[in-house]
Amino acid sequence: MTKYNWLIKDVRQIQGVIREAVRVATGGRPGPVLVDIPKDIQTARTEYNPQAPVRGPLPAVRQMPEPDAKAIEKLIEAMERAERPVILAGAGIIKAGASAELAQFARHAQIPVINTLLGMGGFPGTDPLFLGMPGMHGTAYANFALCECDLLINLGARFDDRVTGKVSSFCLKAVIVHVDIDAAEIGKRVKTHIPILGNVRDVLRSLNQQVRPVERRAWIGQVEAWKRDYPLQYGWDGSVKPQYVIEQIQEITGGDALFATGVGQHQMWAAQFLRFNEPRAFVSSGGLGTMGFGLPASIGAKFGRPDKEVWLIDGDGSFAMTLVELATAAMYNVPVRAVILNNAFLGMVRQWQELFFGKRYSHSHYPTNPDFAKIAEGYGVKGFSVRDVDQVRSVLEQAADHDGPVVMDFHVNPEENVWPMVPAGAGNDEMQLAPPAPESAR
Amino acid sequence: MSTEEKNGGPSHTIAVLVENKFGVLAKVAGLFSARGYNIDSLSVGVTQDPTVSRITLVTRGDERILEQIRKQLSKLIDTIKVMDMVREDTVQREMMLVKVAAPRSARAEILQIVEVFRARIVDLSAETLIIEITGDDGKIGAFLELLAPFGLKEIARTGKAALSRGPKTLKSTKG
Ligand SMILES: Cc1cc2nc3c(=O)[nH]c(=O)nc-3n(C[C@H](O)[C@H](O)[C@H](O)COP(=O)(O)OP(=O)(O)OC[C@H]3O[C@@H](n4cnc5c(N)ncnc54)[C@H](O)[C@@H]3O)c2cc1C
Ligand SMILES: Cc1ncc(C[n+]2csc(CCOP(=O)(O)OP(=O)(O)O)c2C)c(N)n1
Ligand SMILES: [Mg+2]
Repeated sequence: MTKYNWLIKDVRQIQGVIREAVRVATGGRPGPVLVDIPKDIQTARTEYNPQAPVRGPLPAVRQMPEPDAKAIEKLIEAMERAERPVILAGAGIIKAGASAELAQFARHAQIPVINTLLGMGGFPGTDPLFLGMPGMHGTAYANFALCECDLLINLGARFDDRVTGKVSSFCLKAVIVHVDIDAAEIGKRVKTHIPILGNVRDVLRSLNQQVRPVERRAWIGQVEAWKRDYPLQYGWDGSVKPQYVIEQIQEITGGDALFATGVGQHQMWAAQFLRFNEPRAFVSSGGLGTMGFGLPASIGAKFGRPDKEVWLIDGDGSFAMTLVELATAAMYNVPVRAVILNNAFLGMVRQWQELFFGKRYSHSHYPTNPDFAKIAEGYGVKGFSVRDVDQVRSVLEQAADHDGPVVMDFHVNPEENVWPMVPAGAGNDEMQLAPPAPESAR
Repeated sequence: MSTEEKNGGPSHTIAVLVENKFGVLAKVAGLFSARGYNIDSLSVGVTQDPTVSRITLVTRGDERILEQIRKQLSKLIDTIKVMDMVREDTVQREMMLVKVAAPRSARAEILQIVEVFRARIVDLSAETLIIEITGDDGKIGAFLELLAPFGLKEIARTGKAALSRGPKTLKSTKG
């Protein structure tokens, strides 16, 4: 799981190893590392030496060389030829601290921007050029743009299968450019025409010095028409709709907050309906799908950014996995606003069972969920339980004003699905926009 | 059958210089198993620099898979250098011990084969012989083919060792 790990066998190694560990974790493509310090070493004594030797520059974590100027030139030529360019911006933008450079580039060159799930916040969610998320639960207009573009500029995204769908039908009309700091990611899943190895921030700075402003009326007009004609939407039936709760949170915060999530449908709705306006505003687990990540992550986020409001948008299943962390929130009086979109289901699993397994709901229904508001109260944390749409707004407002942790248990429509959806193994061109018509209506 | 084109495309020999530490071999092997790449053979030994080991592995796949293997190997923190050992530009050898059924009646014929292949007999019993042979894929393959009719009892192969021809070396640029 880790990028590297060490087992310390001699207390004198600690200083060098810790320095090396920081270097490996932060160098090249950043990633977690583990230092295993056995009990006898923990209690041993040693002298602190600020100059303790570190292993020489390790090949795999050496500073990146300057990005290849020729490749950047090729990209600029491709941009001049392109009529329908699109940017796919991933977590690499956030890790590189290159959001400002990305915004300048996209606006200057008039290229619409798609953010992967983990790239959210790397480009302002309110910018007219923003197209939302691609792939399995992406917006219709982002997937249309991927299918129709003639130039795809991937900036720090690893072409995950949830993004590409079936690779053999991914971006078939496009010249594909991939900027990544990790050589092993380039060409791994998608054939790349213009590979650029390097830090995406260096690449963007170089591009920003060279790119000429252009107008792309026809293409931008097309993209805007798709946004108008195929917006994210959901139906009304009197129940509490999870998407509605998130829209209300967006209104109350104006997007000016940090948002953590669990894993599942609620996570997808959060990515779809919130408008993140700064990098690292969206704290969510990606391909690893770590249910239970949300509550501890939100507490950590508040410690890291005490100046920011922190909201948790969680599922009942995910929340149950680590709710004991309410003890931490209570002990330090950490004012996180925990929203549970409680459908009494492992909703994402249920959705697949409904759509692909003939509605056989096996081990995904949890009618015996506890009363989460009462559990919160048990920890000395303020709790709300909401079953009525009319209460949603007022509970959210009370929570926003509360001086301390809050848990809001929203009993939402149990069988709401996430749309659009690209079925697993299908291409982005096979996206389903809305629920298929019932058998009887066909 | 040549080892060239069994399943999964032509075979390639890759040499990797790595830090000589425990756990490194497991990481290299883990990389192959995690991604479902084949390892046909693998040999490891320390180099003239005692802090550096050399792994020689033989794998199989098309150019796209080979490129991934190269990149993934280079990405390991303990990797110092990765090099493709292209057949024409390298000397490649492997040692094999083979125990073959050798009743009195068959011995003369086996001895003749051993002679022609410049192999050596290193153990002798009433029913069997152990033969030691060193060579490249082609030689070892042909040798086994000729011995097969006598009855192969057991085989142990070291895996390949490979060096570039001429003055070129796989230098470790550590430190
Ligand atoms: C239930 C569920 C559904 C999902 N559905 C979707 C979906 O519909 N759409 C979607 O987009 N995702 C979805 N995901 C998330 C998906 O699985 C991936 O985690 C995500 O798409 C990966 O995003 P990424 O490539 O931007 O981030 P990462 O996986 O973090 O990759 C970042 C890339 O940037 C590179 N990089 C890092 N630093 C730099 C630098 N300084 N310069 C250049 N490059 C750098 C890295 O080498 C890496 O290649 C879903 C996940 C779950 C659990
Ligand atoms: C620890 C763990 N177990 C199982 C899964 C598979 N999984 C992905 S989403 C999901 C359902 C999550 O349910 P919930 O938190 O209630 O969210 P919902 O989809 O209902 O919004 C499951 C079980 C996982 N990602 N992690
Ligand atoms: Mg649920």
